[in-house]
Amino acid sequence: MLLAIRERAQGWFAWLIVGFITIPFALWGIQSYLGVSGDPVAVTVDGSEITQRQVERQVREFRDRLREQMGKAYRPELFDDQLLRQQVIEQMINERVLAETADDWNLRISDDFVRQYIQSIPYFQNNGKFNAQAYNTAVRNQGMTQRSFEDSVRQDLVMQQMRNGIAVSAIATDFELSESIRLRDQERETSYLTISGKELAGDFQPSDEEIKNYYEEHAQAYMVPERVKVEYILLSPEVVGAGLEVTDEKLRAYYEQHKDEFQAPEERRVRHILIQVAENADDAAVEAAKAKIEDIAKRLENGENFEVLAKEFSDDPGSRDQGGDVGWVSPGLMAKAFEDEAYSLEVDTLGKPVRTPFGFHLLEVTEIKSGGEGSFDALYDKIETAYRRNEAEQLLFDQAEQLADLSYETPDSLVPAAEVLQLEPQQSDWFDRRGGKGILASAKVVAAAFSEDVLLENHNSELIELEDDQVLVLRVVEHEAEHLQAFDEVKEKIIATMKREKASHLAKARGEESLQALQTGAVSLAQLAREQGWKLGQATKIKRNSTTLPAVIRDAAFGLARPEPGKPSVGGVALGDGDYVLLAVSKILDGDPSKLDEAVRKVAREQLARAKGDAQFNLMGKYLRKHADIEIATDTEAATGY
Amino acid sequence: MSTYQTEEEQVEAIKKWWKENGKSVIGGIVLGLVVVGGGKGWLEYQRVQAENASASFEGFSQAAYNGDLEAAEQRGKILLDEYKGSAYAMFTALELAQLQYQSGNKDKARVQLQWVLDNAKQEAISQLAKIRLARLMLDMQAYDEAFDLTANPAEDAYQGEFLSIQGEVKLARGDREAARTAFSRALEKGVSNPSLIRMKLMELGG
Repeated sequence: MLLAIRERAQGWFAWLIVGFITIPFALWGIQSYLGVSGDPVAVTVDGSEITQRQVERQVREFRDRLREQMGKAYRPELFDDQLLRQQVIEQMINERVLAETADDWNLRISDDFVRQYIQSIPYFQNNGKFNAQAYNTAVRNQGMTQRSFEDSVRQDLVMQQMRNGIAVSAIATDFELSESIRLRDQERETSYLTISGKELAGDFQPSDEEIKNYYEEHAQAYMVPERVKVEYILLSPEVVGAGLEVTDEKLRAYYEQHKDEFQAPEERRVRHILIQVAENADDAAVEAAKAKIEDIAKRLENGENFEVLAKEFSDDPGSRDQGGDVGWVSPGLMAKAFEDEAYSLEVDTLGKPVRTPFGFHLLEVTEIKSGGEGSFDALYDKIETAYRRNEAEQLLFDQAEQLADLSYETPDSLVPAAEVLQLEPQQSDWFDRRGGKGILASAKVVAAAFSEDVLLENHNSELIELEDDQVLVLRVVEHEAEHLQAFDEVKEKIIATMKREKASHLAKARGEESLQALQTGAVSLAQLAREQGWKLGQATKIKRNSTTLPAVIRDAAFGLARPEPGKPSVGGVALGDGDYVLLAVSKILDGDPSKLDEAVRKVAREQLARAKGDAQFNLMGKYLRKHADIEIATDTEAATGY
Repeated sequence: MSTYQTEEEQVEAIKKWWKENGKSVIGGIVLGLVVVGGGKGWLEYQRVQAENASASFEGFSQAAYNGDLEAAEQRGKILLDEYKGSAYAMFTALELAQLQYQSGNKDKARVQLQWVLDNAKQEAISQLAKIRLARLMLDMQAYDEAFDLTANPAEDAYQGEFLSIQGEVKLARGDREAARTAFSRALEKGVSNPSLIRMKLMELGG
């Protein structure tokens, strides 16, 4: 058989097969070189991919940030998922466009510079010195590797350079500065008169038929949305823990069981010498480092001074100058191997070299501070709190299970569950899909109350888990479909609205008519007031931020054109209460840039330049984006409604 | 292709083939290595150049940030000489223009901005330099230059900036109506000083 294969394997056919076999081997793993990942792509920017996974991650982080900022006020349904996703993707695209541009413009930051920069960040420092351990821990806590962290720092630095070049370099010219001071500090002499809508409307009273018509035409405004009343059983640590019985015996037993939780951990003061070698260094480098550390160990054994050698050889900038002293160490702070060694050594004995991701360490423990056992009495309060929490959690878990079971077994009543748990079901007020008060504001509660099973089948809801370990089961006791409020209930409201609308309508018509006359210059504001018996306020000088006149009138005054000499600028504005105001600006006093002293001028210029710079940076971002080649994957479009 | 009879024949054939083609094969391999190596070397050279320019720019930015005009001009000059075509050179010139303007030397600032406009290979930067140069011309009351620089702007994100400068020129020349149109279009397209332009537009009657 083998012989047959060997004989045949000489021909071209054999070579062909070998060729076929070779191809997959040759190409195996090539995708990792080409940067092709298996992840589905959401957006491509100039050939650079944003994966769906990255988008998901950003969306999640965005939601987390919102939750953090808003605290308890946060409700997921406040933020439409599609919109939020769209916003996140927009931002990711903009960032990617800038990153790709930076690449295209050949903006680069060297490894050395990145390292230097990281070492200068105070957060990673200990007594003003860079501390590699603090750095490592912080990076890991962010869920990043050193490499990805350094890449993100590099990216930030590049963006900073771009900002320096484009935004910080913006110029606020003298002309712009004096123009903006002139306009900002401008004063306008303004007079105005009020046309009272109420007076014009007089004792207007809509007829019943008009009211009825209005009611029918504006039915949408008088709709009551679909709403429910529910009863519910709520379990929370407070509810459950309230009835707990606490005795000294129980506490003592709890304390015995959980002694280690109440003890401060033992702390050790350690000094070390580090010979740096990267985690993935090659064998030669490791051997070299190892030889070096062993040499130092030998010198220490021969009686040389630890501090002196640490200063001379240690690669840990954070401790080197302190003679290797890293201070007090407690469990969980240091790399595993470091910690194990630190906690196995006796005081003032030199350890064997240990390897951590940083390199080789030579350790010595200089002091030990025993955590000691706090006495039962001293810790009484702490123990009680912990005991109550623990018991309540346990109890809550059990009771929640009971509640779930019982309310499921008798789906059309909460009474059995309430009896077993010895709780009274609570009654809610009416609430609609926007949620009720307190605990009933939760989106989960709303979703449950309006679910088919609860609303239509009239069953108990499932167990709803809420924040802060609260759980509840509810059932709907009353349900109303969306309906129009009864005419009699809203009649008074409608009359008030109609009166206001009438007044406003009349005042506006009258005001606009008069305004036309004013604009032609045929009549002045004072004349008009005299003729019509309208009350004319005295002319006042106002600034853009004045509060002497109502804000609507002030803004209207500053919205008018600059008056020509002897011919005031006039305008009109409707107020919310149904009145209409006619106003005239007779004189303008420009702000005077030369009056500002040099320091104020400088600040104003800097502000203006900064705002300009930021705006120009954004304009450039838009420019670049328009010129970039952006492809949004079809399923991303579908998910975001692009 | 026919099957070989014995192993000797096979060896013989390979030797013969090698004699004929050996040189080309080795030549090909060497050539390949040279091309790949050269390419890599070129990329490496570019990377190092860019990183050096970057470090140089950091030094310059530090001086600029400290407001030390003399040091900034000195470092800036070195950077502009050594990395003439790089984006960093453009950033540097833009920053220098600002520092020089602030110290009262408008002519020097003008030269820097003109240099960026002439030399930037990055359209996004040269357009920006053009806008800044036009505003500087406006500031120096060189209305013709400002107008020429901003004539016929392309329809892109910078259009509003160009239009707003056109508006200023028209206003300075007394054409209020044209200024109003330009300002209002500029605001629609987006400008870097919207509150100022809005106030000006209002003053012209909205």
